[in-house]
Amino acid sequence: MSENTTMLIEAAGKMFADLCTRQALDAAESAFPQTMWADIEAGGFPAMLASESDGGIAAAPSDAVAVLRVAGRHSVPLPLAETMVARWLMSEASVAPIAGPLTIALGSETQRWQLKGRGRNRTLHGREDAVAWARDAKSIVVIVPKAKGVVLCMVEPSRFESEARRNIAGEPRDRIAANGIVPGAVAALDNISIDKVLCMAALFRAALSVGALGQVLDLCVKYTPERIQFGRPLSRLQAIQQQLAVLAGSVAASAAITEAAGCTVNQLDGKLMVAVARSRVADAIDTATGIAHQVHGAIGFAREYMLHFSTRRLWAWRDEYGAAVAWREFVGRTFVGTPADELWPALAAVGSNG
Amino acid sequence: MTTEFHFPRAELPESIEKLRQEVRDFIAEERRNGSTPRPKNVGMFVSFDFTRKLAERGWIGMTWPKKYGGHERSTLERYAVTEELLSAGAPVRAHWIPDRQTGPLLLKFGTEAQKLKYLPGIAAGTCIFSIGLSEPNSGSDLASLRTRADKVEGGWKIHGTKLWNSNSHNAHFMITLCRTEPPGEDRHAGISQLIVDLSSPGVTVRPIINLAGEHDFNEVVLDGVFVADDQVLGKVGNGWNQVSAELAYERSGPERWLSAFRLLAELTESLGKKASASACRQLGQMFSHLLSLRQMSISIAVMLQSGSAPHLEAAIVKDLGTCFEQEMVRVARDLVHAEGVDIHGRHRLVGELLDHAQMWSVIYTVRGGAKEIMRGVIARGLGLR
Ligand SMILES: Cc1cc2nc3c(=O)[nH]c(=O)nc-3n(C[C@H](O)[C@H](O)[C@H](O)COP(=O)(O)OP(=O)(O)OC[C@H]3O[C@@H](n4cnc5c(N)ncnc54)[C@H](O)[C@@H]3O)c2cc1C
Repeated sequence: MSENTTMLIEAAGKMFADLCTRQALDAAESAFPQTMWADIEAGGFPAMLASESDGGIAAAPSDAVAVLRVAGRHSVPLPLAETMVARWLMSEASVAPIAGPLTIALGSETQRWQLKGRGRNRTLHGREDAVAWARDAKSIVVIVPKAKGVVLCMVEPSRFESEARRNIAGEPRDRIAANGIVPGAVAALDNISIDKVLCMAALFRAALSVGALGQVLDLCVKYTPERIQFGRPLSRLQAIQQQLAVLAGSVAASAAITEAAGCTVNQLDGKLMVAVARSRVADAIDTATGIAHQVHGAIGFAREYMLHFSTRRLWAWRDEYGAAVAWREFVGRTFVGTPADELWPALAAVGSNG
Repeated sequence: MTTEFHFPRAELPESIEKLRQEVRDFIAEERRNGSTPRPKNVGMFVSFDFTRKLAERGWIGMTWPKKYGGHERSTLERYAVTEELLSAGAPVRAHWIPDRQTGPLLLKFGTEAQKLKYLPGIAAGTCIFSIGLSEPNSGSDLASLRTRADKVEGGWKIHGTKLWNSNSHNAHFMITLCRTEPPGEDRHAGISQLIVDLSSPGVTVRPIINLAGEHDFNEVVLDGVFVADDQVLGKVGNGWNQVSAELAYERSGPERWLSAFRLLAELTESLGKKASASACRQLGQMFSHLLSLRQMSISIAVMLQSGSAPHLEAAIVKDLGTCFEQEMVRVARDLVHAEGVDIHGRHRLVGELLDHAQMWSVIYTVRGGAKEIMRGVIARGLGLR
């Protein structure tokens, strides 16, 4: 990690911790936290992947992973990952930068967004469930696949038919539809596939999750020594210690593989590493949220205690930008049927395929 | 405050690919000429012939100084070779423990004379060591051991019984942990490591047949066995610290997540390209665990290379790795039935590996330190105890 990144992460840690109080997180579940966004944008985080001429610092994906891990730890209730992806794509496609929160609409594997017609008369068609923060975005970057690469269409949210919805963590996940909108800016990107965009977004969900997993572990390690039952702190009970050890192991494994996926996402087999990370992180989420709520007892189920901000997000993020089962299937499909003696060489090459 | 354990991102240098390829070519040639067939078992087996061939290629004692018969290669190069050998199910049992554990231990704590006496033989694959820690009444609670060494003229006399000693029936020596002082206030004090020549008078090695019907471990009875003063390893009374240093080597390596790899490999082949979505998901989940563990092991190999002793990280890899392997066997059993793999006909090999792995997998989370003990180490690292 470069010195710059280290500084960036320290700054993020301080800022996110200060901003994301319990009250702020609660309030964000009903209204967009404008001032929090302004502070974080002023810190330079949402644009970090864009080039310097587009207001960013041309950061590497691994740097974004490190920042998002901190964001996930503090449950930052903003489309930080989405804006990072949007600003990166816009910068790549030479679309003029837009300040403020942005989001992306990728469609689904069975229903992609479509552009119909030609030239200035091209219109956008499609629908999508659970677009992150669609209602709050200054603009939605709709991504339309083409033969080679994608076309970016910049559309203001008010122009879609939409239904405001939220995920289990209270984060906006809106349903939007378009039947013939003329987009604002339109720009082709030949060297970035829709798969690549999905990978980046999926990687960023893993990064946020790893941060939240770390927070879950910290809460358990802080709470169990304070809670006295049978005349002893819970943390002195072996049954509790053993469970927290399992939790810590899952968190460490998720962090290790997500960090690796962040370093290799631009390689030829970058998608495979992201898929592996998402699969591993999903297992850790299942393990960690179960254990954390168990060792907390009833307090963990109370709205006033912080644990749920992390665990509800983890449950949601586990299956966003590709569900865990889909990522697992992709990993399995990549290798299934490989001759026995070729399997190890294939596995050992994952992530070292420059 | 953060309690997370960190496994710094580490990559193997590209130069290692050439070495990997050499090992792969060697194993392919062994398969072709019939010396080392495709394994029908999971786990390690003894082949002195194979061990000798590895030694000739410089793949035992790889990191040790040349003057002790080593090859002065890096920890990471050794790491890559172990991955290749284990994933191929190569018969490396004979030299595995001395190469992994005894060598580094001798290098760290041995006298010059001990290093010159033992290391060249280990690197040549002709001098085999086993580990004498466990006893009938001391397993996880190793410090309760009773085997004792009494001071006599010119050396020590050992009385006691060691148990579950892998490969002692093929070994020439056993590093024996014993009490050189009666237990006192500090139960970790007064324990020492002595190098016992297994051909000495008073040594009896008895086979213990395991659940799979194999002779792999033993009982070693030491009845007044004499060990000369110059065969004490390290300092008298410092045995506990020395053993602890040894364990990072034992616990962090790929053997903690590759022991049943042959099953995974043959199963993956047998399912064919047309396997169901559900089978792919389950396989994908297993591969994701394996690749995550690999990242962690590589990270630890880099820590070891830089001279640190990552006990805690090693305990994490041991716990996660062995639990993964057990789960993998369960998944494999469901998959062969769900997908109709012909384990009685065309894919008999998968069936054989599955049965063998089923028997061994129960012990993955016991040998080398039980999972509850690993979790205790991790909990201590979290500051809970
Ligand atoms: C295949 C194999 C090869 C081996 N090779 C060798 C060898 O070469 N040399 C050698 O010295 N030893 C060897 N061993 C022994 C091995 O190190 C021990 O089996 C291991 O340390 C556990 O000890 P134990 O079997 O006596 O179990 P015990 O210590 O009796 O434990 C039984 C169960 O109780 C649990 N338990 C124990 N204490 C606690 C606690 N404080 N809290 C919670 N749970 C606890 C354990 O986790 C375990 O689940 C081998 C074992 C096997 C299976």
